[in-house]
Amino acid sequence: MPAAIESVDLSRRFRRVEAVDALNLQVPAGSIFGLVGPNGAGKTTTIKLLMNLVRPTRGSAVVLGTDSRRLAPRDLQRIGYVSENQRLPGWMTPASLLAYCRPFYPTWDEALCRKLQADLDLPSNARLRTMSRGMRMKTALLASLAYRPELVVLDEPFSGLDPLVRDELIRVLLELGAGDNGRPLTVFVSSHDIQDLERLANWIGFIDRGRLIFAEPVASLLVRYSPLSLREIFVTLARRAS
Amino acid sequence: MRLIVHCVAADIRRRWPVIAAWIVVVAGAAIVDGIRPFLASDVRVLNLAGAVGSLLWLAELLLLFVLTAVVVQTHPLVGSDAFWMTRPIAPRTLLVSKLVLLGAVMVAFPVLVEIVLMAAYEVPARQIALVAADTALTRTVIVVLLMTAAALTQNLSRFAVLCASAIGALAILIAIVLTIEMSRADFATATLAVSPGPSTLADQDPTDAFLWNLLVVVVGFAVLAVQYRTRSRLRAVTVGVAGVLMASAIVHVWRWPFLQPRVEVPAWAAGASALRLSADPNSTDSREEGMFGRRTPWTTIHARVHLTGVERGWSATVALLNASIQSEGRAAVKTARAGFPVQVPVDANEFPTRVAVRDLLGVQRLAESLPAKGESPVVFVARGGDGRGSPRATGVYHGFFRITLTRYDVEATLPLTAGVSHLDGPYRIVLDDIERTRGAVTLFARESRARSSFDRTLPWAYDFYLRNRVKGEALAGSAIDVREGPFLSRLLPFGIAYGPVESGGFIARGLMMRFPQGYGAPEESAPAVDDAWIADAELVIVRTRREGSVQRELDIPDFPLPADP
Repeated sequence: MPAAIESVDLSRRFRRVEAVDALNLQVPAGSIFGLVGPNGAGKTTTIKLLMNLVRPTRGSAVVLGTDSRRLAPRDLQRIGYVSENQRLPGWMTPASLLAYCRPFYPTWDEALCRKLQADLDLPSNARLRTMSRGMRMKTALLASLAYRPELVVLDEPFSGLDPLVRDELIRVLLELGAGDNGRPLTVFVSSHDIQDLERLANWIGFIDRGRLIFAEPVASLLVRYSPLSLREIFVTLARRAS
Repeated sequence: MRLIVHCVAADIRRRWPVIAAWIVVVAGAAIVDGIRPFLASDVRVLNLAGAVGSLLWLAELLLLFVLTAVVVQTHPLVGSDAFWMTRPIAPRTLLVSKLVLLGAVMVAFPVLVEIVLMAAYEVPARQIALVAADTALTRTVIVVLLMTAAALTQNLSRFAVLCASAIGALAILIAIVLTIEMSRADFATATLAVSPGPSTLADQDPTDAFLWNLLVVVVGFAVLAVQYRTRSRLRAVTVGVAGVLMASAIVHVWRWPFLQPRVEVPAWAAGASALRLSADPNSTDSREEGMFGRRTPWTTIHARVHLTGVERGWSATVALLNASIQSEGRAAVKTARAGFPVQVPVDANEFPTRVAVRDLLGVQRLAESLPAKGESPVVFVARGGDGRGSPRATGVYHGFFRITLTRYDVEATLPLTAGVSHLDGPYRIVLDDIERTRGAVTLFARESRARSSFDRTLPWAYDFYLRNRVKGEALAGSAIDVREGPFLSRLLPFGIAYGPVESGGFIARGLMMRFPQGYGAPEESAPAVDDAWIADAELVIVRTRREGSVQRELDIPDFPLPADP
């Protein structure tokens, strides 16, 4: 299976802190890859490196066949990005945000957009800055899925969300991941909580202090460590790593 | 193109209150500027308009910074959390959209407003175009610089800190440079007490300033392009610093003064035998130059120099360029410095401006606050010593002087009737009101001028006279500009400064002209300004302009040698 994301020795240093340290990662196309790690493990920096929001101090990454440092608008038209750290334009309403984003995406699917908006139960006319965090995340997700991207990158999307909203987001991602347009959807999602990813991911990677400890399919993990649950496997591996 | 329009529309939707405020303020300021000259005779309304104008000026200044920053920072280029950064918005599209919006709102709109104002004041179309081009360039420089600062910062507060720091740093740099210069020996005295060299007409060449502005815009665009493309402040600042260094090098080596005013020495003055200098060797006197009550190391030697060959309607200034004194058995002594230009007597001993204006007006008596006699120029500058030397030590003096010619013309002659006007190219004056007070006349007028650095002419200066042909008398007037001046003086309801010389750009102002001047000590007592005198009087507007310069030599035998330093 070709890799949607591949990094070689990807590293980023902030002064004395090696936030990401020689990360070698392969995210297979069509997978839902969960990157797990404790707070400060380097998940967000990894995602920012992949999205060319920060530049690596060494190593490189290839995202959908393009060097991450050279991601151009035509590449970003194939990538959806949602992050808890992203500053949404608070003056906009969900409707105006979608209207603003629409012209930039040739593959924008208005029917899908309307369906997702209804599924997520999003109001159209409230300003984003007045909305709850859950509503803002739903809006960001909608604005990142309506053009049927090939890769969705989610940075702590479930953090601080109530269970109902989290279930809704996971359901939408799973529906889209099933794929009905012939193009495989790859989801790369980070979280500090394995529970968030239990129902969603079919690949798991564990990162700690900037280093990738392991990355493999969930199914093979469960077989190898049977009868442990994913959560128990994660705790065991994390202890072993530390 | 579609996406650029989309981005511009989004920015307008986002920032419409600030844009609307800017448009209202710029248009309001132009309206106040346009109507203020009409209010010159009504002090209360003038004060009100002045206060409104000052507030609008402050608001315009504030909005200039705020609007530029918020439009650019709607899509921040610093940090990694802005929504747009992970969207397929091409940096070029975004940059062009910002330039289009800010160019239209902050450059094109104010220029358009100025064009309308100039048209209302009947400025010729060609001059409107030239002045508009000047204004557009100046505004573009400011907007591009502010855009650059906004692109390098994440939000308005950091932008404000950067701007304040830049201004502060500039002030500190100037203070340091001045301190170093002042600490050097004789800096102040060498530039203030004696002249480092007379100014030339080339000093009024705006080519360097124009070139600087153009290059600043280019460098600003380069910084913006790099910052939009890479979002790396380090790279953008590096490009900026390199660009500024390159720009200053280009300006330094630039040898084509394509905007230099075309100045031709009149034919009557061009010949080597025309315009001759002469001096009486017995008229020399040494002066120890002092400053702020302290003695300086400079001793200047003045001599009564006469200039002959100046045509009627002209005057001239004379400034020492270089000089040496040769005496037997001694090495030639050279002057240590040049001299400031002064008006030496032309033919008679009278002050030349007085003679030129009196001739031009065709009167026998002119009352104005000018010195009675022509001045004695510096013919030699000695450093150290007392400059007198031994009374018997003399030598042969040989000096080079620059003679700068000034031409006097009658711009207009107007009857003292409210409503009369004069229009000549970009200069226009309308007489609004005439007020008689005891022994004086005050005229209220609207004056407008439009001048551009593309004119390639030296500026005219305008002076006002009341002339009574019947009596052969004239009075010089003092003109007060009731339009507010720039910067701090704008905080006053109205200014009291008046510049007779044309300044750059378009100016419409109310003038209050008082006859007689009411200051200084007129050498000739003013004639009694009564009803009979006024009945035969007319307003004469005299314009003057420097018209080139020639170099002449002066030899003085038996010139007293300055003492050895």
